[in-house]
Amino acid sequence: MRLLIAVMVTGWITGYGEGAPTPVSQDLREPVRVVTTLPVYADIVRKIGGSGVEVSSIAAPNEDSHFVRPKPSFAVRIRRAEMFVTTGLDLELWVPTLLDRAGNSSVAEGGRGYVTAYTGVDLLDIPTAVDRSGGDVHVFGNPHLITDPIRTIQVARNITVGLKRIAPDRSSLWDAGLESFTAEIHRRLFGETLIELLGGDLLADLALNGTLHSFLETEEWQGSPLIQELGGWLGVAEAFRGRDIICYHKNWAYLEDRFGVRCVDYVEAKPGIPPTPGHVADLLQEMSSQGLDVILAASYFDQRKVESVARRGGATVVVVPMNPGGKEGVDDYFSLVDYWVNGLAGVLSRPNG
Amino acid sequence: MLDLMLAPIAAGLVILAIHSYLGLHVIARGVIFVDLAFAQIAALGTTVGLMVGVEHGTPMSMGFSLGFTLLGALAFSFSRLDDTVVPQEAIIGITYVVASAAVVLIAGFTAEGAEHVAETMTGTLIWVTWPQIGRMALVYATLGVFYFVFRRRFEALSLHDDSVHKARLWDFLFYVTFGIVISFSVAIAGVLMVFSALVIPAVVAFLFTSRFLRALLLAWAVGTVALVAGVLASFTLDVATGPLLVCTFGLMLVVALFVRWGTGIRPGSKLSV
Repeated sequence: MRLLIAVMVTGWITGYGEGAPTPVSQDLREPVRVVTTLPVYADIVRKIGGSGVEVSSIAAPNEDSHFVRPKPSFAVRIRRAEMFVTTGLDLELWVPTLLDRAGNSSVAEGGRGYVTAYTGVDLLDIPTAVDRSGGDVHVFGNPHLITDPIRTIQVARNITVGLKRIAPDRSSLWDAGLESFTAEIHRRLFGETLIELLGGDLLADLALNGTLHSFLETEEWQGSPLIQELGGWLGVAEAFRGRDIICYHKNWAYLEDRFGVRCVDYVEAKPGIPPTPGHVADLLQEMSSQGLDVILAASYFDQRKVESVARRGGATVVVVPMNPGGKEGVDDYFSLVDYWVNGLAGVLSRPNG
Repeated sequence: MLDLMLAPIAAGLVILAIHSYLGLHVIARGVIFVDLAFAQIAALGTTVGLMVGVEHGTPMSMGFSLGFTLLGALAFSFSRLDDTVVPQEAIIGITYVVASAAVVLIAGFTAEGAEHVAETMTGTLIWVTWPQIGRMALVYATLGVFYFVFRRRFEALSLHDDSVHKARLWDFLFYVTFGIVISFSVAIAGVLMVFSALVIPAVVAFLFTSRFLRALLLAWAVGTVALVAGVLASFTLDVATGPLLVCTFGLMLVVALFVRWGTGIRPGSKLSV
């Protein structure tokens, strides 16, 4: 019972069910024990499963997800887990060793409780030639899926499928959780008005096949183009749609795809390889000739490096967390995306040049 | 939980068995930092391997680290310099620093190189697997037999330093086998842990005795206590195993110094078998 209360309190702190119908459950069955690699996956599991799950993540919110500092409890927790959520691409390089050590075959790769976030997600940056000397080229494609809220809905679906496999008797609870999560993403992404007019699913389909803007610009409602009704994150992102920026690491492919901002170059010489003097010089040259004055960086990188480049190039740095809990006030996935979008909108109010 | 602790403890014991022995030699010879130098040379080997496209943890990668270690052994066995005030420890220190810098430099060309460098320091003893332990134990057992058969040679070499010229071959064999030992243990336990397992039990032992065999038994006992206590504490407190073990070994030394002060044991400075 104490456990149940703890789960509910955690859920409340992280904004579980905020503004969305809470799946009501009088369920006193044992919660499903879930371990995730990243805190952001844990948050999604919590949003879907509510008090029906007991979830924790291995990586800390501001840890580089490629590497974690190994602690004994990781293996202990995975041993007890009924479900394990990982990206499934080559992001969390430590997962195979950890699963090996924990020796829990039901959550090992191929087991009932093994859930990969990337399943069914339309991946970007799939390399044509694979060679690690080009940096940490992710051989299957860019693994930072959750920077696009619509792709994150697919991640949530994968998690729901996993929960149904582990606890099919509570399928209706998991389905209700997924439904409210999806509705909340739609509402926050497009704004209330468009949702009422067109429905979230249609809008999400249009956004996924890249025709949302052309559709909204040509279709009219009450004499003015629909685009004027675009609210939510995409509405805020209108302020920086089509803008070019510098990014620190290749985390943002899916954010670029969704919000129409473009990383024209990276502070890292190659993904995962720290900036070299020659590359920084080229970058500064490029920044001044193209009027690039914003650098977007995830908070797990060394901020002094980013800031020194920014200072020399006269640019503003937007440092954002990659996970809930990575910054005060960023407690869940929704406030995380809020932080990204508002952070970019805050500094990208002027046009390039 | 208990079976999760068994693998790190077993790996630690295998490492300890041979490192404590080598540690006595290293201290008797006064080449304390030769282990750090070897560890860095081995790391340099794997890093060079990584740069030319050999992935970590493959036999080929091990080959790179062994190849580099062999070169290091050659260098060290010929760096017992005659007619100079330059101590061998200076050459060893220089090797360590240059190899470390080269690792950082080369790691800069590969993805996540900085983390690779950090990992070579603290290691990942808690993720060790039984096949890894088996391989390491096999190699160490072979070398253990070798050390036992030729123990008189090695002891003579470490305890009396007067026949340097005739000793080049045995010196070389000592460094080669030492390098092989280090290549295996560093890959599993990291530079800091390996250095602790090598030097601290041996130092504690020599605080109480100047006889080689007694020192060896004492070193094994001290090391085992520190290892088991360290792994248990790591699991109870849920902190990283590698760094905590190094601190546990350090704590053992402090305790030993108090015991020595309290008991007034003074073994003298002349080493004997």
